[in-house]
Amino acid sequence: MRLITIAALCLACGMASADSNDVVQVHTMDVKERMQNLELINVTAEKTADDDVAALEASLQAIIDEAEAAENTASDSER
Amino acid sequence: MGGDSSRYRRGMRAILIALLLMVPAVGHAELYRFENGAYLGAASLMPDWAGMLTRQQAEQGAFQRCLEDAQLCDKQYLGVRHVLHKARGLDSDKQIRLVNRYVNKRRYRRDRSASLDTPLSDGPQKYRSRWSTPGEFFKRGGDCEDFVTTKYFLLRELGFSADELRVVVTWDRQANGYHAILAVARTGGDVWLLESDNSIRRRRHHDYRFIYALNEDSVWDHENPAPAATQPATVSTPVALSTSTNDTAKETAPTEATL
Repeated sequence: MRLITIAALCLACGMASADSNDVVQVHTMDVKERMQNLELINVTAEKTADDDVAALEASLQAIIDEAEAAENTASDSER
Repeated sequence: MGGDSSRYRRGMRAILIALLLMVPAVGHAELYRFENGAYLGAASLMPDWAGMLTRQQAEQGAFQRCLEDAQLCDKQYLGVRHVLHKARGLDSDKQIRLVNRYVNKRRYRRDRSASLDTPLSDGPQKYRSRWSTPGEFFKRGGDCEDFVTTKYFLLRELGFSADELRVVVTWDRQANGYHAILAVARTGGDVWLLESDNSIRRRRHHDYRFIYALNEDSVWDHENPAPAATQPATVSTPVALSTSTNDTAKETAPTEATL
């Protein structure tokens, strides 16, 4: 039992220190390196718009509908 | 027997305590705060973002003419013209909700890989994310960072200052990928996070690990707790869409910092 306890404590310490080591590694970067790394991040997550996620006031929805109508009119007149 | 049982209970208690101690190290949910970002440098040092700002400036004339006269509008601006005109009479909460919902209706279109030169490197580097201007976005759609950029400029057009807005790149735990959202500073230090699924996160920020943030002037690092350097003072007036990379920031941007 004592062994298990010690092992669990070692694991906890290991995980905690591994996490802080990651941060320390970043701390040693200079601005140039850091900005290069940031700009290489591929930002691609796709989240689909869902009208049920949040209610929208009727007045705001009406504005959007009118805007879409204006866009559609422009598309139709182009054809 | 009794001794074994007591030792077992003590052992289990120790494990429980150890697990509880691990909780803060493993992850901490916190609300997004502008001031938690360490100033990293001028926006001009992010080549793709800076390139988008330059292109956005170039298309600004046509957009302003469209706002003044619908007859002069390029087709892709007709809808947004209507939205902006109507939004001017609304309070800021409604402006945010309207802009978020309207932009989210646009077409999602994934980036193609792009290769760009960067002033920070000796040669060309590969970039996967391409930042589109609002005009490009309204013409052909875009992916999450383009939705955010467009929301940013529409809110600027409505009078929000650059200091109130940040494009934030995060690791999205739900989507399991890098994601961009728009952070809008509200009264009382609150920050609203505008999502492309139509939600506006006022409190539920724990889905994200914040990585860095941008506006038209500066870049902030959210993964490094220590402030990198003193941020140069910027003069951000609520003048819509008339943006520029801040030369003052560029001159005083740190070349190296202990992050």
